[in-house]
Amino acid sequence: MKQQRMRFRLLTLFIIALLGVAGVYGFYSVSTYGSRWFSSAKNTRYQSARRTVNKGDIIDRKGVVLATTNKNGDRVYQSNIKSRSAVVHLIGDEEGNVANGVDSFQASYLLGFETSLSERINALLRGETRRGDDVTLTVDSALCTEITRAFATNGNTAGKSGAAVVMNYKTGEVLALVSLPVFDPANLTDKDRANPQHPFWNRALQSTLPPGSTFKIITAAAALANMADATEHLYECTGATQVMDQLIHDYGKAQHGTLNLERAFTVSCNNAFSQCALILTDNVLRATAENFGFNDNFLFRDFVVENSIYPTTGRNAVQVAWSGVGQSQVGATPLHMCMVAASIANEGVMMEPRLLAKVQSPAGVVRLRYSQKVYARVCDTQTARTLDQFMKNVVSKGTGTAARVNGLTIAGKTGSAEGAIDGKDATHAWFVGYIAQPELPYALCVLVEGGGSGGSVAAPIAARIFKYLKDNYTR
Amino acid sequence: MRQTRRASAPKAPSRRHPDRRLVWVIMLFFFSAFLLISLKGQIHWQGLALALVVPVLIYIATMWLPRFFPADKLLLAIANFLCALGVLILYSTDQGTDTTRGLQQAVYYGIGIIAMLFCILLVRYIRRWKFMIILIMGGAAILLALPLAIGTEQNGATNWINVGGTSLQPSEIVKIALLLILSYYLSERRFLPWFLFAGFSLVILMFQMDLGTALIYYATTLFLFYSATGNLPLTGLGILGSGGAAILGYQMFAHVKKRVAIWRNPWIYYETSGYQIVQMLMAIASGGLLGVGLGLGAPRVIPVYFTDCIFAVICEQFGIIFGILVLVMYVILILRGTSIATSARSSFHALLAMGCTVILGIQTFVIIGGVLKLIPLTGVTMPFVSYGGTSMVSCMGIIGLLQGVASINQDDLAYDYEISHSLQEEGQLPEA
Amino acid sequence: MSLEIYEVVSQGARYWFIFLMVVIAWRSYRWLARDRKQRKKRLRLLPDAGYVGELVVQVGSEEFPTGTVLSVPREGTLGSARACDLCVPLPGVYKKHLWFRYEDGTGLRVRPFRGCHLEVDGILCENRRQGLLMLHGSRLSVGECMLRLRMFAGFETITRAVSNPQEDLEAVREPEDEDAPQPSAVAFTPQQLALWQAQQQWQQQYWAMAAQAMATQATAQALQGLSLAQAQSAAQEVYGGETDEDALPDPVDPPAAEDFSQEEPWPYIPQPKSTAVFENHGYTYPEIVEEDPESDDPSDEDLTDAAAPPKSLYVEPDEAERAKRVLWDKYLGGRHKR
Repeated sequence: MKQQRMRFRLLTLFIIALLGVAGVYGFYSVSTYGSRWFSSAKNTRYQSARRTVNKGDIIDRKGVVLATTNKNGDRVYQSNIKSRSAVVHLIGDEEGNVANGVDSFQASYLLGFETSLSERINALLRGETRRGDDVTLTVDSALCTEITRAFATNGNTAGKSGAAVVMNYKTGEVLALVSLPVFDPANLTDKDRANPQHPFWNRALQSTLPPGSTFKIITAAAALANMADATEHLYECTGATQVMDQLIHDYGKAQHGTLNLERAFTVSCNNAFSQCALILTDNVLRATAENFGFNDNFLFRDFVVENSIYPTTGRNAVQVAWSGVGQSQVGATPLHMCMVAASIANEGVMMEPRLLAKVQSPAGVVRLRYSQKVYARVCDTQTARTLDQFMKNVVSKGTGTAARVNGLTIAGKTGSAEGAIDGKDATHAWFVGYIAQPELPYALCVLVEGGGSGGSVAAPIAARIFKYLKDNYTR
Repeated sequence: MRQTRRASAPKAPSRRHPDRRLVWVIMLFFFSAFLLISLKGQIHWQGLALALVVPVLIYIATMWLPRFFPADKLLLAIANFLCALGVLILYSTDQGTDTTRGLQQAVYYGIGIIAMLFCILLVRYIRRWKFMIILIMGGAAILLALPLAIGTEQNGATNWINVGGTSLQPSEIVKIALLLILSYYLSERRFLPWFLFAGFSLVILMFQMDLGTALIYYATTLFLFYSATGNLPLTGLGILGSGGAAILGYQMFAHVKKRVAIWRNPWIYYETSGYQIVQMLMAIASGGLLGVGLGLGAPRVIPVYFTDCIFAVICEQFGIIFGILVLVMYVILILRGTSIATSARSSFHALLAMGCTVILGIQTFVIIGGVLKLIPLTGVTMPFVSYGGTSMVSCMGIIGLLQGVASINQDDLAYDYEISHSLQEEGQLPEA
Repeated sequence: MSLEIYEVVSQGARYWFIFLMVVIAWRSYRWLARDRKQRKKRLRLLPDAGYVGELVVQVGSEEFPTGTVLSVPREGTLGSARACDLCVPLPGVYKKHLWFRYEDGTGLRVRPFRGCHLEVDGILCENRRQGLLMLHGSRLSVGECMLRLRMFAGFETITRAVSNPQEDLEAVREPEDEDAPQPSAVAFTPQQLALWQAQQQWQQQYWAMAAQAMATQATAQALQGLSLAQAQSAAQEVYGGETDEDALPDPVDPPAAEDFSQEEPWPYIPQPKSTAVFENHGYTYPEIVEEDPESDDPSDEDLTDAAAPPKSLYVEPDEAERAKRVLWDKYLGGRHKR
């Protein structure tokens, strides 16, 4: 009996612990994922709420109304078809084809779920129809339009799918987030639905693609932080390096001879960086990548982003060597690569990307103001400054010369990543970079799927965006 | 000389009975809730009637019934609260439709009280269990096997039988028999009878594809076996065996695989089998911390919102904080059950009380964990709250068993008092 | 109420419901905690609660001396492990040796675990499932030790084990081990032996008289025409179960025991451990009127194990019922008295 009683208490503790775990897990998941679950397009609750509540407006940083509700309760977008198409992946459409656009992800604001009790009583006494809150974004819709135009007018990129992200690296404001191809949210056609390029897919947030040579920023950061002779160590590039039974070679199979890290970065030498990755070992490289946000569960307030991947298990030397140049199951989204470039520009501090500038109720109560948040400290200041110099070299005398803009100090890194589109091999063109001037603190990432060389395809578009920023944002 | 305050001034007995205060709060809760819900849209006279009747019933069931039979009032108060919560939720989801589950549940609640009284009498007045338990075992085995012969299928499990127009779920009622059989034979330190019965019922439940109930039976048997014998090697073997069976089932049966896949990521199966859990998650999320308000929200889009998923409805209407407080009520029920089990004098009664506690705890965890996506969802009912007569009868029966053990404990303690008093009166006890 | 207004009211009422729920959970918790505290307090007042008797070591060792008292719960295990309810750390006792259970009104049934050896009153246990029945005064031999059972008042056994203490002593002693030191505490004086013999004699007389009285009583018509032996057994049943005091004749005075109780402490003098004074929980006990000190019940003074009748019989049935009621009210919170 005595023992039995002890066992009773043990069992009770066990069962209570089980129930406690259930309770804590429930509380945690509701407070962490609650808004994501709620704003799912499958939620029928706000369809029913829309019958009684007029959805609020979505406004960009210059005051342009991106979406509003008319008298009949229908959603109305900008009148210009090009403008409304350019921001369609940000805003979302009425059918819920685009996942987690502002229209659905911020539905709790737009449909007035956050309205306080006193406000509701006031509205009731005044006999008004209920109207949700207005959401002001940090986005510049003209810039978004400019980006789509840049893609469309460039011969290398016209008709290709891709993405571009522009953000302020000091504050984390996202100025533009474009995914291509775009479609018109006001009249959805069957052509859009059947388009093999999947226009509803928001590539800036949802595609994790191999980052290719842009990942060399992280490899170089790992080398600078962990190798004593990082800058002096010489690598031998004979056009191909044999690792186990595989040859690692450059895009275009170039031969660079003997070169140090800075030179290797400038000419984007795969041989040097795969050797560097093998010297660093997989664990060090993974630790640095995880510092930069790989394998993190991104739970940003304003975005739902796919997580970036740096593989953790079953790695042999070939895979490690390829990982050093951003291949072999390494995957990142354009937004995340933009954040990587921005963190170098911001001296090693990665800001959380933010989209909401302000949320204001129809009665004028400000429910949410812009606030910036540091996401992580990814590397030390010295490393960031060295990398900054490397990236400036890339644009001034390396692979990224096409991104040069007169009168601006540009830093960047090109990438040509071997991936696949619909099962067929393709080379994705990447460019990540930023303006290294404190008065124009903007970083960007350009991705052209199946575009080929990053230096010749993605960099010109980046140049055009930089030029636009120079023309419109210089005070 | 100043009059000093007396150190131990006799306390005046408080007029307000602390037990009664809890019951008053519970009554107030249901009065205001039913009053609110009956004013939705137009005035529902049925709801107004419930606003008066439910608190009165709670008062009668917690404060008056114990005058006529010995009962543990805290257990009664918690059970009544949870039952009435079920009635409230079902009534609020009934509004504007032609279903009358709320009123039906109120009737089942009455039947549950009768089942509870029956179980109290069973535990208190049957002294010779030797033959009784064989009778119970035979009856339970037949009852459990019945659905295989004349059962009807619901939600993929053949565990219902139709008797004269009403459908019964035998596996719920056999739970009471299982508890009695397990605790009797374990306290007699006999192995074979309970092992055969538990194995038989597990096989039957497997045949009926009632995996949730099988899990509850298995866990209860294992836990009781451990607490009776303390045999860690065999218990570990049981846990390993169940793990092995789970892996085997995962490999062999396609639907088990599918369930686990749904649990891992329900969103990609939204169109087909993940619909239910996605709807539940969205309901819980739209409730947020404080809920959307009683009678609001869209609970009816969740499949089987009235039995398995009723916790999601509670969370949507009252918020996750309220849901966790409901969980706390279950925890208090379990603590009370344990204190009854540990103060029982005989091993049979102790094991019986512990079995009741364990089975309620496990069932609560299995369903709430399933609803919150902590573990894969299996179709079991939430004790006391879910809609259903059989579930109500079995849960109140289990509470009845607990009450019976509590009253026997009380008799034992009273007997000790009696003896000590009589010895003291006779001067055999030294005066302290 | 229109749906618009209802929504606002319902949203406002959320806070009210959560507040009430917090109060409900808190009050239930307080109730639980208070009951637990009261139970602990109550058990402190009743140190014997839950025990039905005692096992007294008759032949012990240095670590486990003779006279050690083990309180016997209603059900439990005995063995040399410390986790057992009764821990007997002596050679020959297995970790878990036997388990016992008090059967109401019958006795303490002891059952050995597999491969364990046990004897009660010199009878070896052969049927493991059936076990053996221990009575008030029975001697239990496990391993190298012998324990004697004394039931507490209120826990009756069908009869009392009466045996010759000299024989007990012989049974314990190892015949070939003559030089071994004899156990000191269990020394029987010739006086005690004489007393025991007188008691045996008295008991037989008592049975005979009881049988006669039963046979002649008008109320015991059913017993008419029975033989003396049958009547004796009937009387024995009466004695063991419900005692109708009127039906029994006044017993002859047994041998006086005063000198005996002043001797060395006899292990079986009833000494309940409870020393607390009980508050009468809203319940007044009827005063006990000393009826006639001269013609007092002789068994009262006789403190030997053979003669002490169960003490609970002195409580009137009505009184017991009322005490129980009060406790229900207190603990289970039944009817509340103002």
